[in-house]
Amino acid sequence: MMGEEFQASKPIYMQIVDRIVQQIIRGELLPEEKLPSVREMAIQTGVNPNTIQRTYSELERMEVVETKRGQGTFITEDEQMIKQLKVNMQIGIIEVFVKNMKELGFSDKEMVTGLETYFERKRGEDDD
Amino acid sequence: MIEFQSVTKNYGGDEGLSNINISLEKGKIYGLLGPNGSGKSTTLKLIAGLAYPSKGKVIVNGKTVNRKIASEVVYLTEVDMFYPSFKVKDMISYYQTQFSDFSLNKADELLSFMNLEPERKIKHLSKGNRGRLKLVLALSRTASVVLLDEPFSGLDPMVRDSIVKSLLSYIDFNNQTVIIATHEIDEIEPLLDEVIALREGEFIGKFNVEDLREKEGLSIIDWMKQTFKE
Amino acid sequence: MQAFKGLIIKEQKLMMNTFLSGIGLLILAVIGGFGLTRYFNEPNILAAVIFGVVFAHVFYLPLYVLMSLNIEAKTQTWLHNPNSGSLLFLAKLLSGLMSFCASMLISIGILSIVINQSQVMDFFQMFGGSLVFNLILMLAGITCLAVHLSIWVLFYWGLFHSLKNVPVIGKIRWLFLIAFWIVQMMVGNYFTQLGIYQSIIEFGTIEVQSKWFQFNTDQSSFAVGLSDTAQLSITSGIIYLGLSALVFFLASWLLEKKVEV
Repeated sequence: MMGEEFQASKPIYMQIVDRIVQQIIRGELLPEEKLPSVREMAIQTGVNPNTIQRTYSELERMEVVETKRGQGTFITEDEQMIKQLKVNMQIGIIEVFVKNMKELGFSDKEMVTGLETYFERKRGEDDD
Repeated sequence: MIEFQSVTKNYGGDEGLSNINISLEKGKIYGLLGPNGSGKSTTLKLIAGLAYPSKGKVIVNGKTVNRKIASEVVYLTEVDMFYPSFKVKDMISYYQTQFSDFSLNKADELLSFMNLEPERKIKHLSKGNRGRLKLVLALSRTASVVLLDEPFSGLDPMVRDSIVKSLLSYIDFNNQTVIIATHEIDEIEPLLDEVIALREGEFIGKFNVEDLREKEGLSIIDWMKQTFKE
Repeated sequence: MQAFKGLIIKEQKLMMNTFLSGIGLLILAVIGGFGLTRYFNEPNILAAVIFGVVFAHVFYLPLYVLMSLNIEAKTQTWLHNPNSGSLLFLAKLLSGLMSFCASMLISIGILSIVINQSQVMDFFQMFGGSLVFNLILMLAGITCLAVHLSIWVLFYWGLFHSLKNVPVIGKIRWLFLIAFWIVQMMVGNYFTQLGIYQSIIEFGTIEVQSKWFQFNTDQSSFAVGLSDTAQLSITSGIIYLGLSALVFFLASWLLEKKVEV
């Protein structure tokens, strides 16, 4: 909705790309589902239609969506593609995590141990 | 589309604008930014033919601007532009007789979009509803240039939201250019294609909103803070 | 045409309250006159008051136009309009003239009721000639003068607002306007006293055989007095018509080119 915050450091069209990709991964947007038209999406988000157009072009370039002439823009039916998105997203997050940990001086092994310890403690808490 | 050629505007000794050169393209939403008194309103009035340059030329759709440009320019003032004794529908039918591009159907549609009662007297409307009515009058026309002077000023978030949504719903992006003068950029940055910044009557920058983020990692507000702090 | 009609309707709506107040004042004046007539048992008072009301209509139109212009001056957004300045001004004049006529008709209606009462007929015995003819002459005179003065109002209003952004003068616009008016008076007097002007005026003068009010008009003042014959100068009429047209044209030019928002 309008007033949605966008980060200052990244183009708005890319932030909307990220949002749509996340919605696909979470299953909120399903394969072959139709995306709103550029105008509708602009109204929903309070964002300039030219920006939304760029978002859709970028999604198309990434092969996440397909534009069918005269019908609109649809999420790809290619399940493999969606799995790939999920993997890419995971890799992206891990990269950021590893980079941050490295900056703090943790070794690869310490990171793995740290993660394992974290999960164990979390499991313990959930059991309570 | 719109061009300022070395435009200077003096107001009784004070400088309104000095030596402005800008050109604006069709189909974009421009934000005209700057603190109060930076020349935003003057710029819009020069485009609308409601003020004339002291030096230089303002050209809209290939014509040097005069009063008649009102047939191609929609202008929404910062102040109330209504006759308080009028009903909403009186104002609509008056506009319809004056501007040949005014569509009554669109006006009806917009009135219900904005939840405005045609029979209400304008002096009994809330500030927010008067702000909405301005947009109804503006967007019921198909003129190629739409000028909005502080359309959000003093209005609550609900009203701002309905104004932004009406702009996005009813502007014809293939044929219309929108210029929004505002000192409150926060909420409308995502709405804009480009930004023109003014300070004390001088032009200090014009850039694409997305480019600024991509190249400098700055939002418009960040950029404004940096620039105006100096 | 649609634009002009729209402007007229706007004017009428805008000035409706003013028009009604005018009617209210008129009725108050008549009631007052009636009261005084009864109190002093002097029937001429009422007739004199009604005549006063009829003559006051000379200022009705200029005031109407001025008030209407001042409503617009609050925002000046009426100038955001693709129609010409002369059309905008003309709409104000014509709309004012419509209200003027309505108000005048009411006054004349009351006047004729009063005239029909024999008790005040004495008042009219002072004048000779046909009453109807004289009335028409009088109304035509008042209307022409009212329009002429209103056009000067348009001009001075336009001049006042044109000067807003002019350095130095803008700050002392009132003084400038008064100075302008004095110069206008002097030029007017100079011309009317020229021998040539006098002979031009005399050319084409028709004498109306009636004992009636005589109008002596010049640009911004007029005098009414009794004389044996009323003189109507056709050339004088043409000169004033031309002057009105010129001033109207200048006022429209100012509105379009010089008045800024």
